[in-house]
Amino acid sequence: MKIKHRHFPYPVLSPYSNDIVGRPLEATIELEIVDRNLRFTANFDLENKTLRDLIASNQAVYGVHIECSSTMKRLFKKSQTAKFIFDIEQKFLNNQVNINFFVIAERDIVGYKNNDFHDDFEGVTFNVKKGDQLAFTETVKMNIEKEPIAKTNSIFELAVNPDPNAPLFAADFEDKILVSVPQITFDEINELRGYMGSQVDSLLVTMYYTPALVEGLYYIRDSMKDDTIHLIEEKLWYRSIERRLDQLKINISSLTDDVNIPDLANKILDDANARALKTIKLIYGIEEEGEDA
Amino acid sequence: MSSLYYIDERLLVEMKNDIKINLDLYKEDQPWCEELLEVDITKLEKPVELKLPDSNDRAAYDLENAINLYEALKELPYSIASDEKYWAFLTHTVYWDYMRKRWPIEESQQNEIEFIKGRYFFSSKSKNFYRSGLSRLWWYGALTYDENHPENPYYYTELMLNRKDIASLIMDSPTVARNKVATFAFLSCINKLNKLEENQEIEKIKGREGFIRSIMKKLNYIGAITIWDSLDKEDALSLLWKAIDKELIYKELTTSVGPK
Repeated sequence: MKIKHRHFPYPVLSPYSNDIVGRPLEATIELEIVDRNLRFTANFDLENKTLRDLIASNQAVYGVHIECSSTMKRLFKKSQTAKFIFDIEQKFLNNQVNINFFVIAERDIVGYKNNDFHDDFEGVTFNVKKGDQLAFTETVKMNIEKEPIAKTNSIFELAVNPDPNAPLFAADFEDKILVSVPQITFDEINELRGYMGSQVDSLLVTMYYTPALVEGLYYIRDSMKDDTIHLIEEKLWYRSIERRLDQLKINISSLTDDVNIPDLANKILDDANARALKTIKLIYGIEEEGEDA
Repeated sequence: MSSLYYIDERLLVEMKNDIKINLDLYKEDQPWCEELLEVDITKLEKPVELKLPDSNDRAAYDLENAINLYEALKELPYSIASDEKYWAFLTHTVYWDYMRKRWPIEESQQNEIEFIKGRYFFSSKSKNFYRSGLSRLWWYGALTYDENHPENPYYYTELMLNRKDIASLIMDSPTVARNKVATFAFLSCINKLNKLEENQEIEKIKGREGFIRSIMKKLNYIGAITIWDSLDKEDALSLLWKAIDKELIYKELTTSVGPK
């Protein structure tokens, strides 16, 4: 579950609207591993007095919703106190989890009004049902990595497509990105590497991995648009790209239509084009090895 | 739990690329992948025997097979249960007989290659593990198993698979399918609706398929406001039923069965 901006039939304290004025709900969560369990410590910071009073009178509760796309496990933990600790078995969560923080109604509330309603709602009351959201934060993503994430280059694998009519290039997005080429091309690449060694690698990255990565980035963008990102979020290639983008101070969820995807792919692969040019210069003796470009 | 076998990732891609070349082999009654997968199929452990349907009703044993397969592989982590390499190995080896009887290529009403991709592997477009010919049985069980049910943990599995259209509707709505509280509320409401109709307590619902789809929409709308996971089963059923009940026409007001 990812919280998006949406309209509610009653005012909700949220980072997306001023229906209830004042500081939105804030929350943090910390994770440690204790006795094979994942121990979460949730800490809510709620300024709104009406909601605090509702919680104190058991009409509302703090709630944490955790959803793991890899294991498909969903958990909801609630408490009357702003700081609470809960344990979850490690097997239930893996890779990336989405965490949402709420204040929700613990019972039906007839005539709900909040002292900090926007002036537009002055004198208006609302009926809220048990389980309804009264306040929420933006979704937080947390990586629960039991294994180190692969370096970007190692998420690619070059494979042979034995079909006699195989296309010159095809990318498949399994756990890694499999770049398939016809047998004859595969043999030529191996021959070239045997002849020139790893010197040729930067050229191969530009020729085969960059287009595959471009396709992968478009795949991510399309999946976000289609709301099917959960189908690829746990893949090694996705997580590796996400981590690399983090290093580049780019949030993967900001892959909008405005982003120049080929340029971004080049950056992710450590400026593959520049390295390829340098290799060509080296091959033709235009530049000596070790010389600054 | 039985041993876990996978098709190597690279081989999997090759097999999917080669479906056209191997099309006739997919019509053979005996599995043809032994050499390719480097296994002796006769020595592989079958998690559980599945009932083989005949051409009269290919879906006849879906419920029974779903329960048996999930029961045998209950400990399978979700991460493996959503892995194409795992299920593709089973469909091409120990469950070849089941696949041939349940999903014969000869009866595909679409492109045969796409049919094989979707049923014997995961469809390459969505990687939807709910649709594949064998994995879907396990997921039917996993998504509806209720360990807290006092009598029958497969109560909701039965509700879902008694009506094939209901199963498809749930499986095609991953946000609902992944949420047991919402799924159980939906199935309970459908069941309640069926009983009211059977007992002739309400007017027959016109455009039933559209009505059922509208319930799914209501479920999604409610989920935008209410956190389904924060409710218990009774509260969730009551909440969804309230949204449905007002659209039913009761034959006699005095016999109304809506929630109090």
